[in-house]
Amino acid sequence: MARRQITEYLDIDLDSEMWCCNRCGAELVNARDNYKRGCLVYERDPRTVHNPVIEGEFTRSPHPDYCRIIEFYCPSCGVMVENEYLPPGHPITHDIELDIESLKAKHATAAPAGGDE
Amino acid sequence: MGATIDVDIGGTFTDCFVVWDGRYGKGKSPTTHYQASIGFKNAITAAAESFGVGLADLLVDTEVIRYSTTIATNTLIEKTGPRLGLITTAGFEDTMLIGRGRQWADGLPTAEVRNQARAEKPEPLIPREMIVGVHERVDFEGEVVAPIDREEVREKLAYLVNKGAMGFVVSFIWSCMNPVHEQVVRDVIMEEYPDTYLGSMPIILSSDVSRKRGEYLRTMTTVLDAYLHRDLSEQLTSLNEELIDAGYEKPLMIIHGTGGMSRLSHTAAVDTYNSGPVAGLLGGAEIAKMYGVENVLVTDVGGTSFDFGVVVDGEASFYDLFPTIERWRVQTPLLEVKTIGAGGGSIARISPTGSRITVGPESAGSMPGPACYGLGGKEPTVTDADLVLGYLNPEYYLGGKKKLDTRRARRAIEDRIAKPLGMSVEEAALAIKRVVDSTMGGEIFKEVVLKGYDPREFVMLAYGGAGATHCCGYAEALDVSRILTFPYSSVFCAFGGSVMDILSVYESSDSFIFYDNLTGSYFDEYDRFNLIVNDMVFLAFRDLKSQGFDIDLADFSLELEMRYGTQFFTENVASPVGMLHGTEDVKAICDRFTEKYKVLYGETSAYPDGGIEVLSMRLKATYPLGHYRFPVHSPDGSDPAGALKGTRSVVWDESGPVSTPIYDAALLGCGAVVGGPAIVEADDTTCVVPGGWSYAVDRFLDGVIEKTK
Amino acid sequence: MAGRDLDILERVYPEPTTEEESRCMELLTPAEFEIFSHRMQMIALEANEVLIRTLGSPAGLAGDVGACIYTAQGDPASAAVGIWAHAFGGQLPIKYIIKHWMDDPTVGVRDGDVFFCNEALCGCVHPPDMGTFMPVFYEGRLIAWAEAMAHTTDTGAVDLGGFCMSAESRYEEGMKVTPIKIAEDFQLKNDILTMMENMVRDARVSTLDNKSRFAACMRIRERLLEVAEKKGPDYVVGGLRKMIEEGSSAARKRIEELNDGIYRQPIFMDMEEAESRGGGQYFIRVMVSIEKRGDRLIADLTGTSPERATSLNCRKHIIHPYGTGVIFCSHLFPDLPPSIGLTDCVELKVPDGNLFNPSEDAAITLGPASAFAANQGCFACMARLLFDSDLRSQLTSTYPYVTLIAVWGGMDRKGNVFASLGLDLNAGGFPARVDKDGVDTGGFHVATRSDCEDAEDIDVLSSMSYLFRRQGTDNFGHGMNRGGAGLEYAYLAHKSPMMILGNNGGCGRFSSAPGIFGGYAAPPLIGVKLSGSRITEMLENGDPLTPVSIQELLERGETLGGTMDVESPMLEIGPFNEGDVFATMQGGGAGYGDALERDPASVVRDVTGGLVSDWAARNVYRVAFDRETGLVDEGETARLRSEEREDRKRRGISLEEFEKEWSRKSPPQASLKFYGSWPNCD
Repeated sequence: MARRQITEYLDIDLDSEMWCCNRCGAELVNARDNYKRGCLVYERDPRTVHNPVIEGEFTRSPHPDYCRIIEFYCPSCGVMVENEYLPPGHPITHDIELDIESLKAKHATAAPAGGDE
Repeated sequence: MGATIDVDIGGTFTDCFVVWDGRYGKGKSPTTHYQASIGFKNAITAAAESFGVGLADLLVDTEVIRYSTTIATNTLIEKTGPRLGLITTAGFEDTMLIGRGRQWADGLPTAEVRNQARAEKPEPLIPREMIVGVHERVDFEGEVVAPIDREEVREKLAYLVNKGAMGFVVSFIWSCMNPVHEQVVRDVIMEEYPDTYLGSMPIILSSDVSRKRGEYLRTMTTVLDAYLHRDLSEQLTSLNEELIDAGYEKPLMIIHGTGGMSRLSHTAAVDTYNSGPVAGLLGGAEIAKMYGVENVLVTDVGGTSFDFGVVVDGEASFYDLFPTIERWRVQTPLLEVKTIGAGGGSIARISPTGSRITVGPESAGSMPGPACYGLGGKEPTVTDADLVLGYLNPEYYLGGKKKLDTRRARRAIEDRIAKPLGMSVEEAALAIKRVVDSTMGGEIFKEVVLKGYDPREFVMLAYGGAGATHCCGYAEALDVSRILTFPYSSVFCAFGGSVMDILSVYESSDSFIFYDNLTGSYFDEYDRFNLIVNDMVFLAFRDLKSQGFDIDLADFSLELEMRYGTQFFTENVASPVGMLHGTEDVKAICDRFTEKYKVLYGETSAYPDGGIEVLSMRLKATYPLGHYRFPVHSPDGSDPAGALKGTRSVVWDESGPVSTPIYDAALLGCGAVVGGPAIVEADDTTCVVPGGWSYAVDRFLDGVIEKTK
Repeated sequence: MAGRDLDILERVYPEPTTEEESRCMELLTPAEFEIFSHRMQMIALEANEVLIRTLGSPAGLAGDVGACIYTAQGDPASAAVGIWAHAFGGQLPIKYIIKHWMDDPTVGVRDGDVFFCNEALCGCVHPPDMGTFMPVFYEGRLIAWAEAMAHTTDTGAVDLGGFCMSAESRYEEGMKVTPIKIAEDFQLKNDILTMMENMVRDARVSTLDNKSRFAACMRIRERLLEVAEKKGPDYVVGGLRKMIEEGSSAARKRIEELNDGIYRQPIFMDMEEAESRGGGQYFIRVMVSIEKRGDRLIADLTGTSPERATSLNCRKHIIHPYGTGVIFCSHLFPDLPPSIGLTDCVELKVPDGNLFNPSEDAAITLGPASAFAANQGCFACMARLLFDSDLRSQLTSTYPYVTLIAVWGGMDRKGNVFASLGLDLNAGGFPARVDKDGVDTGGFHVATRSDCEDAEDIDVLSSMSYLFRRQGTDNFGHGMNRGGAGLEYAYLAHKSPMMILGNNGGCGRFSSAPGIFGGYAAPPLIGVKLSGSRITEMLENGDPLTPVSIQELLERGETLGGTMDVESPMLEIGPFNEGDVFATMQGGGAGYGDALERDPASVVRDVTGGLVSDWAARNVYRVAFDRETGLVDEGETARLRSEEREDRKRRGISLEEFEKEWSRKSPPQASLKFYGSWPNCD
């Protein structure tokens, strides 16, 4: 068994049962865990991504009192694996929780895959 | 009277139909896309040969040459139009890119539109960087709300010229109501850039192309016109040169998808779209008159596609008012010829669900083509099924020009359909045929009933390479019991050109409340209405005169787009009067609208109490041209047995193969009748006549196929 | 008395196959089944065409319609649309009719009857979506139902145009009719038509639409009977059932192949309270988790905000037809014929008292907005489910949940009292894909035949002019592949005798569509109202400062005179006087992938096209280029991007460290008034 590419930036190594960065190959965290635990996290003022076009409450940029951008990076190559726009303090989402046993069973008899690109 | 020559430059073949000395001749030659004039000349030469003369001898006695061309399609597909600049109202620069939102679906078959995840808009004909906006504004009444600044226009022009603009399209909001600002831009362009520099750089104003409301559609129509103009006129120039060399110096007439024709100088390029099939449709209308039949279904089945059109009350009168030209929606009223994705190359598959056999819309085209072509096609197609069933002669396809490989056809059907479903190859081939016949029939059915007619009341015309092979199949699906085929089927669209009259269409977007539900009163501003009609008539006279036609022979008809209450869609109503003289006229028009509406949507659906409004008008000016009348023959008493070529094993239904007589079409004389099951082979087409139908050669020497029980 | 049978609302799945249906299904060979299926599609398409061509509401143009052939038991078998939810939305009302009226001697179901329903508690969506249903009898045997549904603009509710921003309960939401006969003996009943005309603001539209839906149903019936006559009624009964079963088994097979797991996405709806109710922003959380197990998908909305006194509540039975349609028919399985069988494999879990499972009296006219938010969450979950599969090409980032629908009315230029809906919602941006950007101004995501019309047509047909209409700059989510831009536009009251205008929608402070795999979300939207300004004068004078974009409007606010209110795009209905302007933008699609991986040439092309701002090119995409020539400075771009990646590694911290600080924060208390308990709504 080899690596399955699960998202644009995340692979799962089915032997070591680890989330890995697809771009640089670095191991991030256990595949049964939230991959975000293996990333570097940064809370970002949304106005650094969406430029406010005017002064005031409504600026076409998310208002920092109501919205923050949480970015998740690969600690090794710095690619942005994912981001979340959340109201301040809202828990981080565990957005992918794979059934590892089932995934392993599915690919146990399959030929090694080299990623799906 | 001298000869008339009609040419249809098609996708694969260039066809020619000549009328000379009281008879007709035909010619066909492969289309030479790189230089269409070569194929054009070859086709005419082939037709001349059928009269036993050379090209020069024919041309010296020729009065008129008319042609239709697919150049519009080619230019759009190959993207060979010029680099244009668009000048529009500031704030509306993105109009062409926005389309009407769902622009990504325009011109695509339904199956592709279902797949929203893969939606994609086409590459714009004018890139965004070549679109500039100037501050100006006219409103819905034509009043100037914001003036135009010539200085700003100059600046924006300089930008476009620097970016390599080779032509200018000007399209402002509401220019259809008041073109004054567009005309200012043209003035400025002419001032700034001397004629010599401009040379062949066109300046096209939307207000010169269309006076209809709808800025996206109007802009798109104008842009297409500008985009197609160069290739169209270059093609015309090369055709002219070819002909002058061969001794013909009169002007050429070009056929329009709007159903008319004129010289190129009086033709908007966008009007030439689909002109070949439209000429075929008009040929069908002529046949209807010839046979004294009111309603005719015109079907053209080729290798990859199936075009059909509807003639009712002896006229081809259905317009697609907002047709899609390739991927672009316009507002040029084109006669409606619909395409369904079914033809000889349609691929048969087992559905993803495994429970059914689908045929099309994917086609094997001509490359690799059907499996039986032996060009590498592995998937079974309709032609493969026809071959396996015995309808086609593998040695004599297209008059022997192509040999078909039955083994490959059988293999493809077996591997992909028969074996997985546990049927025999013949059963699978029969299933494929039934599905495609039903699909063709079903699509036609829907279009005919949506127009308010019953297909059973129609006579069907079948032409195109595969028309005669399938016509009984889809006629059966439609419950149509009489089909006409023609000895000149293979050049039918060219024939159609020969029976067309001069026709021009003029439109206006002025709207009128004909019945006001609030006051209960009818429209009474007769002068306002009549003035607009008169303006359009004047334009028609001007156009006809400038082409040298006698305006006294012109005929006019008026059509109105009408709606109830707040509806967004209108119905096309043929006005019983040209001018309004009093309430009776207005009432007569309203009544006609209601009558038509009831036929279309049911007795209960009409709603005059909601108010009746005319949203736009169309004037059609027709100028009759003389044309060929097919002579009437008498039965020659010949025995059809004399035309018998042999027999072939054919599978007609579940009962298995039946030894079926094959006739040579050329040897069947006037009056001959052949009962089905039978196959009638001509050099360019195979006519399949099942049991329960008969094939007869009638007084016009056409092949009439009729249900006998 | 039948009353409000809420049990009917659970019957969104196909009824069990009857003996008769099983027997009849055997009659169709693979070729015949294809022929039958194609014929059913042609019939549904024909009926849908009739609807579109005869409706009085702008719904015809917006594609807010659907026509469908149902089995005799009330399951949708062959749909043509429009909006899928409309085609599938007749399921529950028809089952209600079968259960309660068929054997009721005072009502009965007979040949020639046509029923009407728009009551959500009987299975419809919300009052403006009105459905018409007709039983199809062949020689006394019920073999099918014909259905036609279309959105009729006004329902006589407290707010013009059917979407009641200010409603707090169902009792302000206008005409709501339980299944009732609108026709008998093939004739529409004038007493019913009159009653409905009387209840709404635009009588003409009411009757035109009723006639239109009726005509569409009659058409389906006529065609079905032709097929029954030719092939026998068993053929029709069997064929319709087979279409559903086929869809069900095909969908399950494909779902089976996807990776088992649980996928989650919270969606935060950012709404504004009407000024008349005190104003203020509030959040509603829609929590979506999709579990894929074997050949089933379990969609769980637990953790969504509770029901509240707003019209955003949404009955859960609506999720099914919307989801079946936009997700399954248009994205997951576009090659499978559209029937309810496709979502046989979906189980929905919604606790009582949740926004999607409110009490009977809840207001629901803006329910579709909540359904769109749930859809959005589903798209995000599906993206994570589909990447590692054969369906990757069908993966998209998210569509905007907020579809701004303007309503206006009053007296039109011809002196008629009228109400109209804005069609600009049909030019929203589509989301980015794995291998391409999203389509700019692509449409309204649930409406497959949407059309935003030409501004000139709207000017004449709906008495509303536009000051400008363009693709919005930065109005989408940035990313390796960016989302499609949403439309940016401004209404102008020009030669309008008397008008009022409102804009339904929200999302002024929070993102409007979450991105996928590092793609950024689409930004919040904005509403700019200009009253009593010099615009008309400026136009007349040819003033070059007359604004032609929202950016220019905002920059020049001072010079325009009058008052300029910059708010969220929600605008409560109020006067729209001559010369007034209201500018806003439709949501764009969300992005896909890390913006630093976007091809620099694409960024430059977007900048010259006015879609991406210079600021974003520099600060988000980190691209250096020459504005004059449009040439990318490859070296500098590579350096800037490498620098940013290094900075990310420097500034990022571990999740544990992050959560320590983060968990102490919260949004303003006032924004949580309708949220439920913070943060998990439990």
